[in-house]
Amino acid sequence: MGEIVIAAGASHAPGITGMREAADPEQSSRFYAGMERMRQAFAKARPDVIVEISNDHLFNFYLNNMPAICIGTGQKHTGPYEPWIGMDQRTLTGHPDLARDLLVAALDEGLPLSFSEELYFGHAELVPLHFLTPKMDIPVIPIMINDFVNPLPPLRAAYRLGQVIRQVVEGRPKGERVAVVGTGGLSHWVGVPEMGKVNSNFDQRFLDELEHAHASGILEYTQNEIDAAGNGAHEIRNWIGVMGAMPEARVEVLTYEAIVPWVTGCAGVVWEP
Amino acid sequence: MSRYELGKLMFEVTRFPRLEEEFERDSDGVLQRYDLTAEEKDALLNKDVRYMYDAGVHPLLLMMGSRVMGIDMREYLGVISGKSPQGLALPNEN
Repeated sequence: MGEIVIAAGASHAPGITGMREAADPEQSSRFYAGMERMRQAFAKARPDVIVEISNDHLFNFYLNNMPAICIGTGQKHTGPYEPWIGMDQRTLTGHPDLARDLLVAALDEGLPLSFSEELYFGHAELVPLHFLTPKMDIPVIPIMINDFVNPLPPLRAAYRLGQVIRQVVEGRPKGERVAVVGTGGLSHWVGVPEMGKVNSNFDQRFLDELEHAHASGILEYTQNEIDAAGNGAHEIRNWIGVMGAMPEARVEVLTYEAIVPWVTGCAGVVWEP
Repeated sequence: MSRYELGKLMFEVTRFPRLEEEFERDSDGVLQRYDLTAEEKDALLNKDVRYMYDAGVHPLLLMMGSRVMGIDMREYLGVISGKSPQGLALPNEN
């Protein structure tokens, strides 16, 4: 039977790889040190495949067809579609077989995911992968939650997604070692005048509740509470997916830095079974 | 004001690089293919970010689409906030 060997939450601000020098060097070096520890934890866990929960940034999907949650069942994924995040174009392998099992299980459980065989990767997918799997040679299954275009799926839908992931992985006869990663957050504003503001109170509270397993506390956050941390803070859904998959893991906050030039409260957290 | 149609063009210009090229070469030709009023077409021809922001085009999409159209994030933020952003690592044209 399969196993979730490690899980993580990692911010995906484009400045992390695209504008390294712009950040205060003490802050960024602490952040990068945290991400290096995360990479080491991943290397030690030896995952065969990464399930990556992120969110589209109005590149794959527009208002003509906006999935609440879309799973990438394709053979490959290319990116970045942004030329300015400090990475060359590359192609990553998918995992259609496991992706299909996840999709079918979710549909059976009353969580009707959309699917796509052609998802393009941007900073939201590639910035964390750059640290976790520098060679980008581990197959990735992207799952994109709508975190930007109202109305958003409720937090509990993301949590349920995580539970389905665990259920499917544990039932896999091939016994894959699976890593689950939630990307994005924490507090940030995008495309609006407040861009550049960070709400460290929100971020600290979120991380505190995460570390002490107060899943129920986080699941009760209201739209207004999250709005107060920015339109980008709704990306915590991606982290909540990880929470749903890892209800009994040991959680460790590796790094948190409020980095204004990267317009984001940047965090890195691991869950170890 | 049609935020859907304006947003649709911004989405397609970001998603399909050749469309931006075509738009620069033959703006009228491209604009005709969308259901836009004369005022909206002018806004796009003038790259009037403020107009589109006020029309309700999604801010993330608008910021990304403006970048494709040659308006970097720093300039975008300046226009929509009316002030110059300090200390932000907003990538410039590259």
